[in-house]
Amino acid sequence: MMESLGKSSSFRRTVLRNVALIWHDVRRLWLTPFGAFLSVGILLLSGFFFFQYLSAYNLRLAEFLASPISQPAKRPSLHSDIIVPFVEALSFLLLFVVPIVHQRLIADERKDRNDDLVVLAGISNRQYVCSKFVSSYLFLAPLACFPLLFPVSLFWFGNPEFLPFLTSIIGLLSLLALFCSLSSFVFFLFPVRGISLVMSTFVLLFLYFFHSLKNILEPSSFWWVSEFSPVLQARPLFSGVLSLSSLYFFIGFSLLFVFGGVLSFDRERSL
Amino acid sequence: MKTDPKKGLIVGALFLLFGFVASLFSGEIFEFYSSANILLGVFCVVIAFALLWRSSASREAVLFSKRARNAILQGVLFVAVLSCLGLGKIALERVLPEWDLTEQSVFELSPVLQETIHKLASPVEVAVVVSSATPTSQLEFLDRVEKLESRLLSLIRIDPVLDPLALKEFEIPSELRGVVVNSASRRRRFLRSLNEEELLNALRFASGASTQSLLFLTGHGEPSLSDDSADGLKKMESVLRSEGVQIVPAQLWETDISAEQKGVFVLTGEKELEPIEIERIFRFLNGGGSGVFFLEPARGVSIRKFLSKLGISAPQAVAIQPVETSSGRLTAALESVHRIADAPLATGFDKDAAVSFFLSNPLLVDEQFDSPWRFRPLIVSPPQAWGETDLNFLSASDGSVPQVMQGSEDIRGPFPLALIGENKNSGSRIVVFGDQSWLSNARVERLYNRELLRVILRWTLGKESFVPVMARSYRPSTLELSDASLQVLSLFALGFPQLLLLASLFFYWRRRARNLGFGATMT
Repeated sequence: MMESLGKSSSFRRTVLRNVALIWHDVRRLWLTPFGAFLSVGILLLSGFFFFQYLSAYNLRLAEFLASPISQPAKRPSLHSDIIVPFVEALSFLLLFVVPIVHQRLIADERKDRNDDLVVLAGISNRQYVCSKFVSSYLFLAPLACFPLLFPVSLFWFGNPEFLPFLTSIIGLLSLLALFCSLSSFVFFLFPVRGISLVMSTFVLLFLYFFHSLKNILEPSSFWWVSEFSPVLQARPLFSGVLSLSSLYFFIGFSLLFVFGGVLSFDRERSL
Repeated sequence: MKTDPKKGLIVGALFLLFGFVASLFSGEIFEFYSSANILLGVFCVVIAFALLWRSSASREAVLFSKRARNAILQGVLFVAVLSCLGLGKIALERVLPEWDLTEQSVFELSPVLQETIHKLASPVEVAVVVSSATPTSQLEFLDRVEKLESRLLSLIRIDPVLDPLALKEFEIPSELRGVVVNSASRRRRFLRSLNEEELLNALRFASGASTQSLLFLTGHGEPSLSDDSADGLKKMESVLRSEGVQIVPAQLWETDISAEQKGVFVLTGEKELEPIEIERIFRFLNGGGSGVFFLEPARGVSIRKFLSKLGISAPQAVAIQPVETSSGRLTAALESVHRIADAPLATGFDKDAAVSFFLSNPLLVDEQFDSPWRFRPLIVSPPQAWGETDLNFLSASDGSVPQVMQGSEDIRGPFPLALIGENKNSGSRIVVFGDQSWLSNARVERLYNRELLRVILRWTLGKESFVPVMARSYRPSTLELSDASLQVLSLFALGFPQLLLLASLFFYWRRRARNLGFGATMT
């Protein structure tokens, strides 16, 4: 009885320690000009994209309405003409933001030797890596969701479909989770500060444009490019299809890269 | 020189990596490059391990081999988990469900296609041409067909570059996208594009009855079936062929319509029909044959005499539809667009489906005429349209839009522009159109003209109906922004981030002031 009570209180202490670490990281990112400038930058850029898509849509709709012999099925829609390209553009923007956040969260801490202090304070390597992943995700998820206020404003003016919009958000957050885990993995794999930033951006860019390999590879390789391209896996979610297969891909591979981060950090600490 | 086995391992791993990546590309040069890299990689790794083994006595090497072993073990573990995940993804691809949450189920196969595939009576091979240029949407469509896992449908993807023999085996012409072959009867139909409607009707055709013959009346200067100019009928001919109709061009001056013919297809030419021809067609129709007839007011001569024998009068007039221009002025439109969703035969069409006619002749049915034929309007003009009887503008050479107004002599709308009729005694079916220019190469693919042609053809020949599968889309948007609204939205796109920036600066300064004491400023 006493033993189980001891175990549960130790578990609670571990959880609390991890939550405190995550809270500290997220708070530190938000309460400095870093978070504000990052969110303003993303908002400005995404606002620019939104305005471009909106203007193009408006033009296309005017052309459609002016033409008496247009196919009704080809009428522009708010979801396919604004929301989907906007969410895709936003995911591309996040691709550059994720390594910057990890630079701040992982590389800077390592430079200041804060990771040693944290590990000495009773947090295991595994918990440290997981908490860094969760912190970056909790910081970036609201950052990714802020610009969605632009497409939300369309609900006041027009009538986009709600459920596909919801799946687009799920797709964006899933893609973000994969970016965060992969980037943190690269940061733990390459301990040198500048190199990890460059490598992380490079790996994310490669992964983002992975589907372009279809253009140069043999047609027999198409299937695995489709299976493992994050952009192609996110596309059904962006379009309004809630695909468990895509969610499996994002969750599974996010966990895999977190696991990879744990292995790398373990190796680094053992040296 | 001191040899470092660690460097050898790294170089070997790099060679192997490049070799593996190069093996994914096609081409002889990549094959050579890949083999060379893999060989060099294996060589480097073997040498590195040999050196390690030789110097295992040294303490440094032991330490290194321990680290290397750990790193390799971790790498192997990572790759094993990655492989499990990948294999799991591929295995679960077909098992894990997905829900199309769009209103019109844009990403699902239509129920009618699913039912057709599940109810196939005999094995069917669907061979489709797939290359790197095939759009993703079409590949996804094929994936959805494959996911139905019908035992009687086998989908064969053919790459025209890698497998030209397969292309030859299925005899797929280069301009077409595939073929559906009934393995039992060898009945086949080509696919012009990869979409639901095309596949559905090809499947229905391949598992259906035999080809029917249609007499195409010639000898009066009718437009040619082989003419691919704007006024020709080459595209229409391919539609007829794709419907499994065998077209037999024939003149009726000397011979009668043979019993093999299922129907007649009569267009307006440069000359009137001869009385003997009219008599033969009439006899054919009363004997159970079917026909499709087209008037062309712009051509001057027509088949009016023949139609009058059926109780249809077609006065010398052209349907004019007033249209409001952007400046608010009323102008006469010679091209008219007609919705057909509520028309007979058009069941299954989208509610916005419409066809486009050009210079159509009004058709009036004499209800008092004593005849076994019963006619129903297929397409009716809008109420504000009128039948212009002054046709002088048709001969105007400047091509300008005619400034015609409705006069007292004109026919008041609404009036039928196309009729369908059935003979209550023989069960024959005919369709009459006041316009034939919509069949021309320039117009047959406009709006739903081609679908209308298929529908009337199938109905006339008594075949199972053509099933249109409407392209589904997201909810049509009602958002039409004026310049002012667009500016408000763009201001929001700029103003919102600015507001956030000011707010964050305010909170940042306030926090600093609180930490540093009253009056402190940011440095």
